[in-house]
Amino acid sequence: WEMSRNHIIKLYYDIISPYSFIGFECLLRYRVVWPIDVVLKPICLGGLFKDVGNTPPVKSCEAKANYMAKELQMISRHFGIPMNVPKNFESFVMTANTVDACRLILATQKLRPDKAEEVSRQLFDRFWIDNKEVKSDADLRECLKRAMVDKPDDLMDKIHTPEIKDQLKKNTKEAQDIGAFGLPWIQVNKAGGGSEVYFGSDRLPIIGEFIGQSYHGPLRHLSLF
Amino acid sequence: MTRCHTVKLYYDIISPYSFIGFESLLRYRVVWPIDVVLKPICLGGLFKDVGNKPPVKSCEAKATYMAKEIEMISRHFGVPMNVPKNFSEHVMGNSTIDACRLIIAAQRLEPEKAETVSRQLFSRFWIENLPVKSEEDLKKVRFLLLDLLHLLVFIFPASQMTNVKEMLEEMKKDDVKEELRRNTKEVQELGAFGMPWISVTRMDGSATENYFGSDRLPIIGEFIGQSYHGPLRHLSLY
Repeated sequence: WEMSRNHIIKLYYDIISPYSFIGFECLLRYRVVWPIDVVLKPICLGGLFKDVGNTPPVKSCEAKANYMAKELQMISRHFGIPMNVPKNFESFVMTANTVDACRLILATQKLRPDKAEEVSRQLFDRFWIDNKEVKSDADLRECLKRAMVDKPDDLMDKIHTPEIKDQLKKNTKEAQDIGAFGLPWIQVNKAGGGSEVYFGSDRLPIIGEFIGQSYHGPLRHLSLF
Repeated sequence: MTRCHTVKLYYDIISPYSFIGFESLLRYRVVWPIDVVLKPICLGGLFKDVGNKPPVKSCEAKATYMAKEIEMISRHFGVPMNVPKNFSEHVMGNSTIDACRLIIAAQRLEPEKAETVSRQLFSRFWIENLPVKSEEDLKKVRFLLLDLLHLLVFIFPASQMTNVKEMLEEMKKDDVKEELRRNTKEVQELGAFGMPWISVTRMDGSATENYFGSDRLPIIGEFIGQSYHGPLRHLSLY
């Protein structure tokens, strides 16, 4: 009896990254049609940008920020995700802090691993559909409630421990070491050997080819929204 | 009344993703009811006007990744692109303004050849990795083109060909320089900050949408009520 013959896909993401939300939803959706295991790897995007000397794309130039706002609405609808980009898109992402949100996901992975995906989803939902902050304890508790996590205190207590802070730093360094300069960053490890990395939420067709599978479009009927 | 959706492709030879967008979009003319209008622009001028910088200059990790990604995506589309080891110098140290003017000259004198001229220039820069800066380079492209033209004349009794020397003279005219500037201004007004830039107008004129990059064919398909059928590699001309 063989060990799992699934391809292992590591998804590096941060709640603050809008394309990460899209990549998160569509990649997870593909578990029903592709033999893949998805490993969630929250990171700190601000830390990554600093370490590699990159700037947030909204800061490239005004035309790019304007286009991104429009493109995000368009692409998210293509994937059946009702994302909302606030009118003050640039200041929304530049003033937000999602470090504790990512630490909460890590805490969930440690204490309630079966809930890590749903907690991630609720955080993305609150930030990118409701356009509300995911910074304060109250914000995070609200997400835990919607994710139907009982005993939220255990998770909230764990967020600020050195163990979790270190884990976030470690994940961020890991992404940097495999070439990341932005998010989402996807590493695909084929079951029979071989590994490839991809930037962005547009690469599912090419990832499919890499693992010998067909891409079947956005699978909107599997959207959880 | 037009029975096709109008798709304007803004591109520059210096832009690697423009080559991918160019090939994949043109391929879709066999399955989608689209007219593709080629619009060469000056990317350096666009960057300057909108205050953007070339992506290779963002950070080293991005330049490294782009080099790998371009080879990967181009193979997905059946375009055998080569990214030279000196990728950064290749895009920062070469000028394709004359190459784009040559395409416009072809559009004015031999419009049906503008696509082939574009393809030859893209191939020279992104498959052979040779510069297209000097008149010598352009003459070499013309020579390749002549070989192709002779084939065309032999296989299809073609209409008269304008002397290519005329094209080399045409591209130096103020009109042509002005048209390149105009195309560049046009795409800036549509919101562009990089290449390729694709502007799609539905055949009934009801809506226009703009797309950046070479990854948007599936979404463009949905906009015009068509299905995306993958990279159509069997239609690759390479």
